[in-house]
Amino acid sequence: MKIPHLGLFSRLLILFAVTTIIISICIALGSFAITEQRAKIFISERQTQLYEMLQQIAENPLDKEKLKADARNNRVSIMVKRGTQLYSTADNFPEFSALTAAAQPIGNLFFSKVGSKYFLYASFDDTSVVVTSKIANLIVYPEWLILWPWIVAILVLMASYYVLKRLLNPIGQAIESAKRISEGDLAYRITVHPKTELARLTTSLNKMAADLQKLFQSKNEMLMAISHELRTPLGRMKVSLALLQQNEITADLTSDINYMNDLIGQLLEGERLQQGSRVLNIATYYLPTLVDDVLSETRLSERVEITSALPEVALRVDVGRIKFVLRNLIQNAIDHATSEEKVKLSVTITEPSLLISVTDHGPGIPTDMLEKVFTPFFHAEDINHRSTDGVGLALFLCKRIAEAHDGQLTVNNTAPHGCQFSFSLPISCIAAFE
Amino acid sequence: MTIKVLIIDDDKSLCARLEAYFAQHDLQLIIANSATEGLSELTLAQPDVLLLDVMMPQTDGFTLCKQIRLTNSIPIIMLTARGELSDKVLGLELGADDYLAKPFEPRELVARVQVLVRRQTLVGKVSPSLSFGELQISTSNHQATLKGEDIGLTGMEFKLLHLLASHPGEVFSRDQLLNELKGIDAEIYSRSIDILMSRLRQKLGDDPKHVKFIKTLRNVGYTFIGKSA
Ligand SMILES: Nc1ncnc2c1ncn2[C@@H]1O[C@H](COP(=O)(O)OP(=O)(O)O)[C@@H](O)[C@H]1O
Ligand SMILES: [Mg+2]
Repeated sequence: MKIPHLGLFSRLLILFAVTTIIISICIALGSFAITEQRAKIFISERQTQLYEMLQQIAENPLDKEKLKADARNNRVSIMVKRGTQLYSTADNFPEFSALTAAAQPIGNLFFSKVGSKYFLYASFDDTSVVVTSKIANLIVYPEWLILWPWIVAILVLMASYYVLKRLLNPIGQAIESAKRISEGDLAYRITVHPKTELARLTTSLNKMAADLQKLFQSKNEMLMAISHELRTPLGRMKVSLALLQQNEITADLTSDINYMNDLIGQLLEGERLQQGSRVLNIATYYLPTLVDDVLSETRLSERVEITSALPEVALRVDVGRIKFVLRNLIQNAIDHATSEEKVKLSVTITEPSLLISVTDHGPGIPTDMLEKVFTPFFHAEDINHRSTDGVGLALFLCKRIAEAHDGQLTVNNTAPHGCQFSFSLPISCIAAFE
Repeated sequence: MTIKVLIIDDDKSLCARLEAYFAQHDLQLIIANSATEGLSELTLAQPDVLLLDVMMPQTDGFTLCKQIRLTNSIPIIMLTARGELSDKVLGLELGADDYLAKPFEPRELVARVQVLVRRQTLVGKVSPSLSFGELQISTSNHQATLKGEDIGLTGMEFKLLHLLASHPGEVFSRDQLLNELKGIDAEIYSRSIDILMSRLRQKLGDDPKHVKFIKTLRNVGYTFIGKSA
């Protein structure tokens, strides 16, 4: 059904109006409909009264005005045939011979079906009186047709369901598209556009996705370029420094260059992580190997104690970034240690999450600063008493990484001293977890 | 004989400084500032090691690496611009022997060059082997040895082991393995992966209760858990 230039509102209005009208007619017809069989029984039960009524008409002289009034009052059409004289209140009567040919007697009366119309007549001496009723013709059907109003009602319901679905399909598409875009699938486009004003919705959604895609792409290119441009001179400086006689000054300069390099990397990583989960490079990786990889990096392994057996599961995560989180939590714990006691690492599955916790025995973090450790450039210690020469972005990035995975990173102090960082990932990060 | 190192990098200033630094360490640096220049120097100068920058204006280093590998087995070190905290080392997949993120310590670069050259002269024109304690996987003669003894792998079994062992920790689904092995035998089908896997494990002496090399993750896939040594 193509209705050009009609708004969604008008289309819906028309659809509902038409459906309602057709359905109510069908219901009315359906509930009153009777079979020919039932109609005949109905007549035979009242045949004496009916016969008398027809007899009265036949015996009286033909009074056209009275006949018309009677017909109108009883909502019937009447035809009277007296000899060759023929009078009827409506002009839809067949030939009388056709009526007699199809006649079936019911007592003194005759029931006759011509075409799809039903007639009742009786003959007296020279007069025959025929009646038919519009209403009866509407509700009496042969056996096999008796259910048609219901069938039509169902068909109309199905048709309007289909039309409604087609009309509202773009909304479904728009919702799907919004969902896909928010999940990071910026390449998703709606392919069919409706002819109503909803087309504006679907085309604007497509445009939005395209714009976002361009924006993120150019942002990423920009970040890559900045990173490259800033690091190029650092690389050159390193070579120049290496050419010099190595002493305290060159060592300081090298450390500063490394600091700047870390700063660039982590600042840009922070920018990238603002885009949420879409920047993650998800891969399937065996958890014990992941922990092992981090621990086998220099200096870390001999100062860490794994407190419970590592769950033998595969994770679907951004391996590089999860390693970054682990590495930094462990590095921080080691950096802040005040004794030789080992840093405790535990990985447990406690539904609904996979919990990785790193516990140290350092000084802990002042209670009023617990939440602040996740803010950029935060250092709990006074700048002159730093135990590390970190950039101050690591924990901020760790938290972002946790959140991009739909996980969390929290910290609390442990008694008597030290603190515990808890990194949780949703159980859905575990591949094929039953 | 001085070691000849060819660098393909568009940063002229860096190249010049590196040349001076390399000279201090008895290395001769040949400089090419573009891919085309690099390719001709590669045949002309016959260097011992190639340093390849990833971020170059025209051809990027990865494409160039792949192209060179088709005809040349020279040791390649990729100089990557680390953009992300990513573990992906695309260069190694494409046939590079090592990679170093920019900005690098020049001392580190020289050390890596020397390692590659030493390895080259020791084993001839041979790509390195993977080593996991008792298990040695030699890429050159498609052979795996356990405690020094050849365990007699078939071509397919070797390919499977090599694929898993060169990505420890990475989990391969059966479909992924199937795809990788299709290159050798187009007839291979899903069930035969299982059969292949169980034969490989038998040869590796992997006890299901105490797996040392290939771990099965039910409904997920297989992963190599041997510790490199
Ligand atoms: N295990 C810890 N014990 C005590 N303080 C910590 C610990 N981990 C982090 N902190 C505090 O949080 C701050 C931020 O940490 P981080 O983001 O890793 O930056 P950085 O290590 O570069 O200073 C640190 O400077 C330190 O004050
Ligand atoms: Mg830190």
